[in-house]
Amino acid sequence: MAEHEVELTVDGEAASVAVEPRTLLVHAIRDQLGVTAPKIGCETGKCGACTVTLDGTLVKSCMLLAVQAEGGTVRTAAGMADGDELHPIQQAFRATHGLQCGYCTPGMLLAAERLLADQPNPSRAEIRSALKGNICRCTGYQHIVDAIERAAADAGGAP
Amino acid sequence: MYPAPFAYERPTSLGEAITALAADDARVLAGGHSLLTAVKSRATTPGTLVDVSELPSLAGVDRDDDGLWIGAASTYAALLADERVATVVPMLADALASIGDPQIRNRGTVGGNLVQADLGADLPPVALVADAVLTIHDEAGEHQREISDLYGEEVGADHEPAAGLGTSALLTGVEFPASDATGSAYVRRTHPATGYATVGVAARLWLDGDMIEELRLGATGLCRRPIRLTAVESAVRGQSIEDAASLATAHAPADVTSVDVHDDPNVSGSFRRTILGTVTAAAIDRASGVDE
Ligand SMILES: Cc1cc2nc3c(=O)[nH]c(=O)nc-3n(C[C@H](O)[C@H](O)[C@H](O)COP(=O)(O)OP(=O)(O)OC[C@H]3O[C@@H](n4cnc5c(N)ncnc54)[C@H](O)[C@@H]3O)c2cc1C
Ligand code: FES
Ligand code: FES
Repeated sequence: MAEHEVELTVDGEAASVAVEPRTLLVHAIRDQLGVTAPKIGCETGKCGACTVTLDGTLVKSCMLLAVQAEGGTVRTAAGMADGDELHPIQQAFRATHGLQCGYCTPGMLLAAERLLADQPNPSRAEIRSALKGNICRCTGYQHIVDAIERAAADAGGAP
Repeated sequence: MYPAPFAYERPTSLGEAITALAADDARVLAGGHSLLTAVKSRATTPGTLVDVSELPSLAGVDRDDDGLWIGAASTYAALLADERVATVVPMLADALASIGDPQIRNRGTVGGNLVQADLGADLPPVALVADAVLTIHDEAGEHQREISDLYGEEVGADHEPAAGLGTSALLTGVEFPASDATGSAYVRRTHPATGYATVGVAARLWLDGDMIEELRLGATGLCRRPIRLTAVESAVRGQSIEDAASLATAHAPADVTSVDVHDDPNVSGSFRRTILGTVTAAAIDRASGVDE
């Protein structure tokens, strides 16, 4: 099948990838651009490990074709830290043990960032519903919810 | 998981889309959240995917005296952010909010949901209760179809669209006619494994004081097509709203006696039959408190 040249911006870097139409966005990001923050868990839209934002919208990058991201701006968890300085949400995850194996974490971080942008002071129930598309097999979620509460508090949202 | 190869087209006009879809092995790609799953597992092997997700003629919402028109490529999230939806068709807002998770709601579209009508999809029963009217374009031009004649007795394989639309036709918009009902709501019990509805019920209610003048009910999760619950509808007509829950649980089994109710390892068919009455009662109760 003819390849398509797809122009996109990933974590602030302009990139161009030649992809077949069947190439999933997550494969283009990981295998062709070498940005391995988004993970592949289920490849069927259930686990959220591949979560990125596309033009600010939270999506599962295994559920889009790379050609559909033409002209788009992708943000992965790899783009969150400022050099060695972790993003405040990453710091909160570290401080509250919001991760164990870390496989789900890149998706969790972006879902958390999206939530806090929309709702700076979320309840625990709101945090849980914002994480509905992200599965964690290790932590039992308590510490992830704690981490997001703490990130909100650190940012001055919570009491 | 690598799909079999296919070509990809992104038409920029309705005419181009219709032309592209006329090819035998072309398929509409909207949100991709049912189609790409089938394509990845190679349950479906289309030759060309025609991406309509950004086609202007399938976008937007329009409200007038006749009702609410929704472009087929509108995402669930876009509709949830539009307050006209909850105002004009409260049960639609309930159903949109219960779909999947945030990422799925950001991509999935009304048109794809209604055409695909997966087992336990949330929008088909709402459209059925609302008597939604579909605008469809194909090579012969534009025509309208009632939602009720879209889902026939015969449906395709699990991953194929349930709606008998044909692969060359494009659903461009869905009209939810204005209603003088007292209220409406959608309530579901979530499937523990798939995240779809195990059973979901849409209810639209007309009350005169405490008396139920009219009730329309649609259910999902029982079989591939959404079904109307006509036994419960007629049992409660003329009765007090106070008695609706007990009448719903008593009469719901009659609505599924001739239905081959879906059975899976997590949720048996008999469980689905058993909870139908309680989910129906909950939907009626919620509809009585949510104004249309
Ligand atoms: C993990 C997961 C959980 C989910 N949970 C739920 C849930 O809880 N409730 C729920 O209702 N759904 C759920 N879904 C399904 C989701 O809502 C899909 O988005 C929806 O079923 C299909 O819509 P789509 O826009 O993604 O369509 P696509 O997947 O792009 O298309 C589906 C089918 O419809 C056809 N089609 C699409 N648009 C048109 C059009 N305009 N005209 C003609 N044909 C068209 C396509 O050719 C294809 O055959 C879930 C999906 C996933 C992956
Ligand atoms: S890998 Fe994309 S949702 Fe699981
Ligand atoms: S930390 Fe291991 S899956 Fe979440």
